[in-house]
Amino acid sequence: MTTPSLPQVAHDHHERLLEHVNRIPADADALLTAKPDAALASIRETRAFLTGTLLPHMEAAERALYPELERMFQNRHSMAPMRREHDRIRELVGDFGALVDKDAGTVSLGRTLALRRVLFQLYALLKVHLGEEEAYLRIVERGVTDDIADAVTAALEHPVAGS
Amino acid sequence: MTDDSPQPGELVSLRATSEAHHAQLMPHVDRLLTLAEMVGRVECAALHALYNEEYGFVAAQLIPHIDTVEAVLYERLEVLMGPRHTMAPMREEHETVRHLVAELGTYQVHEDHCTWNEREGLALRRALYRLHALLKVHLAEEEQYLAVLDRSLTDAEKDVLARHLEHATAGNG
Repeated sequence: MTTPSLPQVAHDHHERLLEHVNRIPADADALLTAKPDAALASIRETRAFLTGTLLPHMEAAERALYPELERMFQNRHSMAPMRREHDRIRELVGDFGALVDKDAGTVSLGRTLALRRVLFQLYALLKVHLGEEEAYLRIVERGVTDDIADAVTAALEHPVAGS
Repeated sequence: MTDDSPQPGELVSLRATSEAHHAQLMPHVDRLLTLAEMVGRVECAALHALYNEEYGFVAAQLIPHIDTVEAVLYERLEVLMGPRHTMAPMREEHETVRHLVAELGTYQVHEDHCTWNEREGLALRRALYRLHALLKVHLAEEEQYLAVLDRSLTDAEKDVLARHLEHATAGNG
């Protein structure tokens, strides 16, 4: 039995994350119409995913994957934009937790709208961020030789709408 | 075929008019996600029809809608709520919507020269997800402001606003 490679492990993590992430829009919309008990259960489940699964994944990616990529790119390419997105995700998870803790156990329209805002922002960020990490994983799988490192760097310049 | 348009002298419901506009927008907002999911997964040529349809919608229908809402509803809300509340955050979100729609427009060139690379695909997906996220939240919040107008204005005042909305968006469909 062979040990799974880093890209394979990370890809499997992404698949598991996306099972939850892909449900975020429907869960966020359901908050507008769900009964209070169901809404609170959904919120608790989402929080458990964010803090128990997503944040540890991000920390592992920063610890294991990003340094490997930076070593491969030999300083031609920085993972700093991806780390900044992690910071933004942590902020949003923190915002979500603060909203959940505020007036815990109650459901109000204002809080529902605020929770939806955080959830949709998280969804938009995570979908592209995970897609971009997948692109990096393909590079790790293939390996990067010196002569194509510059081309890879140019191709993966952190893509931002409007840039 | 029946004509549902208001007759002269008939009061137009602001709530119904606005909700009808939002109901028209929401399926297109949801299809922004469908499009984003397709980018990078299907042949570029297969994206064009949906891209053209949805970009056409946001450019020709959504932008006039937000222009009208700002001019008709936000101004009235600010008068109504006085210094206690500003619609500036909602106007700022409209600005972001306009920016993102302009960004989406830059991908029209692909119909002639279909040469996607990974970077462009990710940037397009980023714009689509951001626009979707913003509109989902923004439209829900706008519904709450409509409720404020609905509670606060007379039927005649609401009728005037509804007719402005109808008039300003007519011809964009």
